[in-house]
Amino acid sequence: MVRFEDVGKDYGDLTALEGATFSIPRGGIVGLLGPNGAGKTTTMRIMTGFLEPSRGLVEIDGEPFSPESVAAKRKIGYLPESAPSYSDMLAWDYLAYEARLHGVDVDSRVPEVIRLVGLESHAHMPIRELSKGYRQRVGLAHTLIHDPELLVLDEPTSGLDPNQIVEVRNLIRRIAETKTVVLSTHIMQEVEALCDRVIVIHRGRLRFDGSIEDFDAGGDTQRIRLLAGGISQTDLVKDLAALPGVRDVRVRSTDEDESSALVAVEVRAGSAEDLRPRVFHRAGERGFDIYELYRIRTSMEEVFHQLTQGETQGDQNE
Amino acid sequence: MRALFAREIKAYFETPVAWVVAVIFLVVSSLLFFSVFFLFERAEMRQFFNNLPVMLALVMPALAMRLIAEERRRGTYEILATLPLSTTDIVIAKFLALWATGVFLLVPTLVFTITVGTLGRLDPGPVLGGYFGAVLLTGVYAAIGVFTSSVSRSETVALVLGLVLSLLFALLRSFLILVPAMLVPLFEYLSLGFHFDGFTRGIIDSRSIVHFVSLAAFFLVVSERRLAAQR
Repeated sequence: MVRFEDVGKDYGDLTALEGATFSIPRGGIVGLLGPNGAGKTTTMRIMTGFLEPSRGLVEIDGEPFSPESVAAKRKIGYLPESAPSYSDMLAWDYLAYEARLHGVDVDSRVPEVIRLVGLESHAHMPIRELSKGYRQRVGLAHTLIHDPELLVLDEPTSGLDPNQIVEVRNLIRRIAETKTVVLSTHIMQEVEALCDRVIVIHRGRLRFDGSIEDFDAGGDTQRIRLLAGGISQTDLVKDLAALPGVRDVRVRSTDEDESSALVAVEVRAGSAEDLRPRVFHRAGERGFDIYELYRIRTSMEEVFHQLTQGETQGDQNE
Repeated sequence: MRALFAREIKAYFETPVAWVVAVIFLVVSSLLFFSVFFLFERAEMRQFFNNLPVMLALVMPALAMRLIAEERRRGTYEILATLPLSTTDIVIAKFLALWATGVFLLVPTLVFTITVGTLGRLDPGPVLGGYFGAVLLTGVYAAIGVFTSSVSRSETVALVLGLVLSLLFALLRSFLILVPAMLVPLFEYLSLGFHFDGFTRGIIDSRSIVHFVSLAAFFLVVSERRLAAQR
């Protein structure tokens, strides 16, 4: 559906996105994650034709895509952050205007979309008088009016109260049954609740692209903890660090007696590979005893933090 | 594009903007016209047309300032730009809506023509030429307005820049005394007032039409380029 190949975007001297390469197949919900200013909005703006990339190739359905690709834009529904709309218009009139712009039948499509997003009771009110939750629904209705194949939603639940968040998430889930949805967020519960796939962007570069299961499992790093005896701390660290696939070994404090000669370490892998069998075999070879060996379950927040460590650049979200 | 044009027209007429501007325009033009008309007691519209380049230069930027600047400030431009419209479509639709609104301002002034025609024998040539020129003049100011509204997110900046540019083109020939002799024909040619004068005498000069059309086209192309460059 969407393909980015080595896409970059500069704002003057500032590089907001660099070397972005990924493709999004049809169907499902893709979460675009990253700290503020990471390049999420820039990516979405390029994907929807609001911005032209400074470098690289963007394709929609195998065709090169740019802000002037009028036909391809019909396949996309875009909800910018904070769901801007013409606040002086009635919700109905606004959607009718958009339906006309897209060349779809106003009389059949507008009521259909209003029903789909649950806006029936508020359709004839000026948008400025609607609550934030209802304004968000108007925004979602705007993205759906022309029945697009791809929906791009920039922080669709930002600023909503918990009830509204649940409602909007349910709505997105319902929409994703028939369409491809790309949404940006930095709320991990949202990712967990909605997404099938995660793309993490940090400082304008892709840091992770994989399934929600891989992301949940710790992204590209696995951590295991080991409590061992019969070996010195220095030897243990040296031994484990020499194992293939190990990125680093850190000594940890133990809650054992002071007199105990046990050593606690945390081993980090350079990939998603589970290192426990390898550590177990090494213990056999070297003759040290394993008292504890377990994998650390990393919360999504921790995975996100690990992937996006380091200072962020200036916020690109205008 | 038609839907965007219709929305822009609605935005002008569903809010008090166009009506307030139209009333102010009519009241001020009436005061300026009739105060002199009864003094000279001549059945002609010259006095009204003489004031028109400056009057429209003051009014059109006020109508134009919201066109793009407001959309960019409110974030709706991001929606507009991702709809199946090219930048050219956006510029043309907004220009046509502003031009049509500007022409609407001229309609009530037909009362002057009717009044003068009732009081004396009015030569139709200068009146028809004058209104034809006024429609073209409104188009040029509309194009300038679209451009100045595309320059900044601030409507105030759009208004001030619109006033400066429109008044400059309206009053260019008033500065002829200040420019070197060799540049006089160029300044005269660029001046909207100079070309508009011809129309108000009932002369439809193709050079003047070309000038008005090319000046409007120039500002529309620059607006399109400006918006495209912001991508």
